[in-house]
Amino acid sequence: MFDDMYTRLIGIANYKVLLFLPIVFSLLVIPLIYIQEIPLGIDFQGGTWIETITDKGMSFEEINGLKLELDSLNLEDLQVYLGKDVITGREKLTIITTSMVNKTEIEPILESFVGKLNEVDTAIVPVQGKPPIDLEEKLSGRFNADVKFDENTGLLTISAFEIDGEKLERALEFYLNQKITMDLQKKNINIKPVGKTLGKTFREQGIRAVIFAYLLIISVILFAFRDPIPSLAVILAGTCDALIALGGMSIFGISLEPASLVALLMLIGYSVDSDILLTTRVLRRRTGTVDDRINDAMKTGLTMTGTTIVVMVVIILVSTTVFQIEILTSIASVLLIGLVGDLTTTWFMNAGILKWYVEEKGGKLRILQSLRRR
Amino acid sequence: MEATIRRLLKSWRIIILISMVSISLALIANVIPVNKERANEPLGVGFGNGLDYGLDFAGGIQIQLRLEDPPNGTLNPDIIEIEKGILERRLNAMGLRDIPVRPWGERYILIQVASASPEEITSIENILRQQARFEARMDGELAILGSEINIDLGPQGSGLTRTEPSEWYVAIRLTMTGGERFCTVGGNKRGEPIDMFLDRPESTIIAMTNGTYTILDELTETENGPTSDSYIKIVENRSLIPILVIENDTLDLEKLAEFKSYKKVIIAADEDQISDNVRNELEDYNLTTERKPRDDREYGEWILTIIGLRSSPTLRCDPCTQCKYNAQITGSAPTFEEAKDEMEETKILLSSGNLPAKAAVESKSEFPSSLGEKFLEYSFIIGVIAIITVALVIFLRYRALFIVIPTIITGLSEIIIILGIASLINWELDLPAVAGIIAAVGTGVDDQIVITDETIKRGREKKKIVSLTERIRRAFFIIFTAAATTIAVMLPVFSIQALKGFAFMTIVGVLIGVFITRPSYAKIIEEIVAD
Repeated sequence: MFDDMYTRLIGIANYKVLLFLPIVFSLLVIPLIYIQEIPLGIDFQGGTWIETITDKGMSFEEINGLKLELDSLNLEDLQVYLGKDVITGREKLTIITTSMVNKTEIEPILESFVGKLNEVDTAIVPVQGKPPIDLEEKLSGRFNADVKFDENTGLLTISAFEIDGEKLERALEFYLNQKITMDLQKKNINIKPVGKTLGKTFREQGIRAVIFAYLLIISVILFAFRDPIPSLAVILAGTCDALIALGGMSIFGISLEPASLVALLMLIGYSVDSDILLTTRVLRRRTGTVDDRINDAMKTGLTMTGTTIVVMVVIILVSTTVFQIEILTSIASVLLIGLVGDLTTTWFMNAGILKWYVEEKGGKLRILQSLRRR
Repeated sequence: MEATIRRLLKSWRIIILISMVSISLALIANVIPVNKERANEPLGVGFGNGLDYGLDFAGGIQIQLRLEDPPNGTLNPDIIEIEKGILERRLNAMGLRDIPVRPWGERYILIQVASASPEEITSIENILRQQARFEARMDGELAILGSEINIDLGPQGSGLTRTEPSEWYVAIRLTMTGGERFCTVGGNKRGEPIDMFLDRPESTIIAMTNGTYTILDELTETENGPTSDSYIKIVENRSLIPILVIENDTLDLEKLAEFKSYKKVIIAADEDQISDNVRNELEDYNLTTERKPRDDREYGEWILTIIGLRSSPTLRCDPCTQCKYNAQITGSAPTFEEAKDEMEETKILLSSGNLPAKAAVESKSEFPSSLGEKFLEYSFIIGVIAIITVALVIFLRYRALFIVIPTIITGLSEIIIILGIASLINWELDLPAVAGIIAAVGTGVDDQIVITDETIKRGREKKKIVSLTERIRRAFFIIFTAAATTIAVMLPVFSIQALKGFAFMTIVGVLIGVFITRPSYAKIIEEIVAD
């Protein structure tokens, strides 16, 4: 069943019609991207990213209420959404804006919705008597913590970016030589600002890298095949794949950030693999008809792309349901969209161009070859 | 089957693969000790201990600084180097050693701090934002402030000779007020030392034992210094920092009463010399205390670090006429290289009080280490799930275990060797690097499918003119071309600071694949098909 897929495919539709489908499709994507736009992540645009962990869940109305209150800060491109925290599994509220946020302005608003905000982990421990003077040094060395003791209240305050409650409790009981009760307030807000000019620099670096990568690929392919039309077909396929993936990003609102840029680059690598396979099989093999060779290549190529597609589907499933790692979901989604597009660009378009090139233009090629042999 | 395996084990490609995998495993598990410690704790043998983890996995804080153009002129690599030097020295002086300060692009500096307390981060941020306090004093009297000095960081501003010993100079310009004060203070002090301080402790007393005091009183800085002053004289008279001598580990309250206006005490002793009881007492008098024991440093070096005295060149010109506004600081060293180091050091010191380019914090991100640990764990689990998925798909397609098993073994070997190389060259693993490994292994699986199809399919067909080696040769044309394009895509990505790890891992992985694992896989399939 898998041995003559291409023959059956061109039995359904004329291969010259098929050939133009991906091209037309990719061209349609361009106005779509233009209208819909691909959101830029704050790494590429500059802005502020805030994550808070809430003890109580937030309702849809509450989120809208928060959005309304945040409006007073004039935040551009404001996004507010709920998710699950990877470590604690508790509800996580993410706020993204392309404006620079003043911490002292936004914190009171957030506190009225999610409760008290702690920028660091803080442990408060009532201590009997005066703690030994070297306690501070020992704790700060081991836990990277700031230690303060208030003699009036007898409270020892230990704050650090991250406190392992159990470890600290054991250490304190050992150093203080008494049973203690600890009130540990975990850090529940993380603010990441990215300056506008820094974002612009990242963006420019990204664009420059993509342009250079594109030029380098063109030269490698031209050098490998030393034949302009098949080389251009490979490059056209890669370009269409990238366009289709960008279109998908724009439809599904996946923002362009370092992670999705990585995905686009991976996609180009994978998509060119199957095109190179196809071109090599068609041009370098001397047995069988062109259709036979494409049939053969298609069996191998579909296994290649199919494996990657299945892996991406599995990663998307796992990363959305079990692990909640947003980066992985966006990388895998971009790759998945692009690879599905790649099925059409490789087997409808690139195969069609090669068939046309060898069967209809190939006469010329054969004459040239025979001339050279003489 | 056994015969096939025996034949395979004799093949040099398989031997190389097995030995590379074994060495890599030894590197990753730190059996070959590439990492001696992590977070100040000694590291022994253990899976993953040989690897270095970036902030995403190890946790920490990353700060991006943007440098602005200097008031007259534009930013250039020389200025960035100076800024980097200033930041490194000030962070080191704060006791925060080994904080990498990495310039990138045209005007950015990346600072990554793996472990620090919230207060330490605040003081790092302050250091990054503020000027250093540079002071030049003569006989304790303030002669010049850092903000009054301008130095030309271009080629005319400094230089050195190629002779041995090599002579160097750095030219400086003083502002009006600076020049005037320099003249008043240094007018009759030709031949005396100019003491240059970086972040000299203010309203601070140094507490030390009687023994330490005696030693420092007898030691003189004859070797390099221009005077034969004792270190005690340097501290008390030339730096204006009083010393509180503590005898028999008891505090002399009468003496302490003299230092009413002081706020801080640096205890220049370890706990055996001056106990924590004394420290407690000092704190009771509303003084903040800080302990700076000598450890294994020389006495002189130790005390000069405490007071922030960096250099004491001799005043060789008349500060009221010759060098009032324009001066040259000169020195010499036995070799060209040493002279160059001294010159750079002086440039850094003199610029520190008047940063050539203002720095602003552009971005600050925090990576909690517990999140990093979870990420690492999940990446591993997802990797395993991906491998199982690949195995399933390959099995469904070929219905033969003898193809699935070599595919999986090859893929795993590839991951192990990539990680082995990463731990050998101490490459920091971050999330993009993991993505790079996945990309490399993914193309690896693609290539293995090509090899398998080229080998098997024609193996089943009737004997054709095309030989097995010819088919494998063709498979390798596809593989080499695909590898070359992947490398072509990744090379420009190296220029993106955040994605360096991705580009590096993909390229390393592709190269290992092309030269080591795929030839081995081809050999295995060849032998199996030949059976």
